[in-house]
Amino acid sequence: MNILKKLIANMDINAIAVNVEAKNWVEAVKIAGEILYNLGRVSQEYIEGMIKTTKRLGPYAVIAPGVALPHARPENGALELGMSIVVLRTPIDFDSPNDPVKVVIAFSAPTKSEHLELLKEIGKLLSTTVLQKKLKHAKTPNDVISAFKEAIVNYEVINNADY
Amino acid sequence: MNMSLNLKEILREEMQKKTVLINPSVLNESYLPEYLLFRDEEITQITKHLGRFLSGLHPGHLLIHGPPGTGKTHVIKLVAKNYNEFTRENGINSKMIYINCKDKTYYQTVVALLHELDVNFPNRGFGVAEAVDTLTKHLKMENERYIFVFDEIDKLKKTYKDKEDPMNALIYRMSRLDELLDKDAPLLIMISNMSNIVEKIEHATMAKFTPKPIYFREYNTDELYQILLDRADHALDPSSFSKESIRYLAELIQKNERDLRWGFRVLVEAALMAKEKITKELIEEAVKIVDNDILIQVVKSLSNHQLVVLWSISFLEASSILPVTGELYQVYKLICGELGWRPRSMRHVMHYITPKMENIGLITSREKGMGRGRGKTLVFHIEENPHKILKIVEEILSERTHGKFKPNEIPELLQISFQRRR
Repeated sequence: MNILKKLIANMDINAIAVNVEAKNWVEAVKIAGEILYNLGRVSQEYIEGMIKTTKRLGPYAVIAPGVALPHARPENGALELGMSIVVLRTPIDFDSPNDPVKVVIAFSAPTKSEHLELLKEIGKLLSTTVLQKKLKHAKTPNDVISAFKEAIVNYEVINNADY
Repeated sequence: MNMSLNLKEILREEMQKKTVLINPSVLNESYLPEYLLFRDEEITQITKHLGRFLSGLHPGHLLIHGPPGTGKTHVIKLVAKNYNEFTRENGINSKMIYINCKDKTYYQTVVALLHELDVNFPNRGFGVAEAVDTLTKHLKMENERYIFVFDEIDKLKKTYKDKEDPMNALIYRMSRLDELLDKDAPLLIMISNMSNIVEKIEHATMAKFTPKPIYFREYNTDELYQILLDRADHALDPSSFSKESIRYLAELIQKNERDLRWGFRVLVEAALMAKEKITKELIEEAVKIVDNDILIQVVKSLSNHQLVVLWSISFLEASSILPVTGELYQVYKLICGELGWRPRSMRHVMHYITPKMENIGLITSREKGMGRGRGKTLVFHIEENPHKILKIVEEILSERTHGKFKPNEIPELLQISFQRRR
């Protein structure tokens, strides 16, 4: 959990938006991408890449019930490691068995290895229903950060436990 | 090349390695024994039929069918050997010619027959009409009475030019040779291991062909045991095996619905591993090796797109996602995109690629309702362990794409593997 742990520890409060209204999945992805762009983590091209990858992934863009994970390849304009989290007011459909989506987590990584590693770490963390639930019910950016911090600690306790 | 390797020494060592196999050729697929156990009835029936042909009668054609590994080819080769020896010894103008049709087109089969008849005919450049015409002319001139054996007729290869089924075309043409010859046509023996071969022959073809069917039933466990024991007696060091281990192998053939060819391969593999004795454990070990070899061989025979589809089904199963039509196509399309290939249409994948793999026995499919008013979908299932298939396909695809296929480095696939569903 090295990359994710570092990202969460240094998380800018402006990278999280709660109670956001979006008309459709494209707009939701754009909002998450714009946050990364405004923080200087990605270029405009990356946002287009995120929409294309979401289309390519089809039903798999929604990684867990209610949680979508849009991202593009590093070569599509990822400038720095970054993550943005958008909690929607009204859930929207991504045309996936895991619809409707309430939480959109976008991320960027400048290298291929960091991209794969970060994706793996987020994927592992989101496999627990506790984090999924906490994110969906987050009212403030701090709720989101503490949900992640708690999930990382729990994950490390379970995986480092000496049985 | 690694110069530290002494290849000639390796060859010598392997060649001179002491094994319990004293006569390995006896267990080869091509080995033709002098006798066949438990097939006396069929051998006698066929030989009597041919004896009548020798007497001047035309007793009609034969259609030999039965499951694989039941001795059809061996019986006919044994009969052919004796028939040709008999006619030669007695100065009779008659000959039996054997042609295996597997992977041959209709044209190539007729050309192979012409070559067996010592007729000079080019392998390519002409059409079936010319080949049949040459055959007819040759038969008209010849006084010899022929028996043509066409083995594995259902395995004839169809070309894009073929308007009709090559098997039916071949049988139709061969059985109507008499109309072109104005004399007795050759006696035909067609062999197939399709259980419904009679249904596959069209009415128009059957009207003239009207063969006498001879069915080769499967061997029972005791017969399998006797045959294996007989071959083991000839092929192996007598002190290297027990009757119990041979019986165990016969039981495995029956239990796993395999045939004698598989049994011989297992026996060879076990014999190569045995230091002194072929034990039950060694047989089990050999089964794993042979089955794995067969699996790799089958997977290697698939086309690139078939391999990607197979990989996609295995990947979804390994990721605990139900491989239904839409989800399978999504993964398939993703990989094609990564490899820079134009994906086949969904219709092509579902109507041509998956049914082919189902026929081979690599996958199965079943219909599943998607809920009220939402129609039905197909759910696919890998018959083998999906992780094993993933590994095999990855190796083959990586080789074919010169290392371009690296699924572990595709983020979209990684994301799919982390899918959690309700």
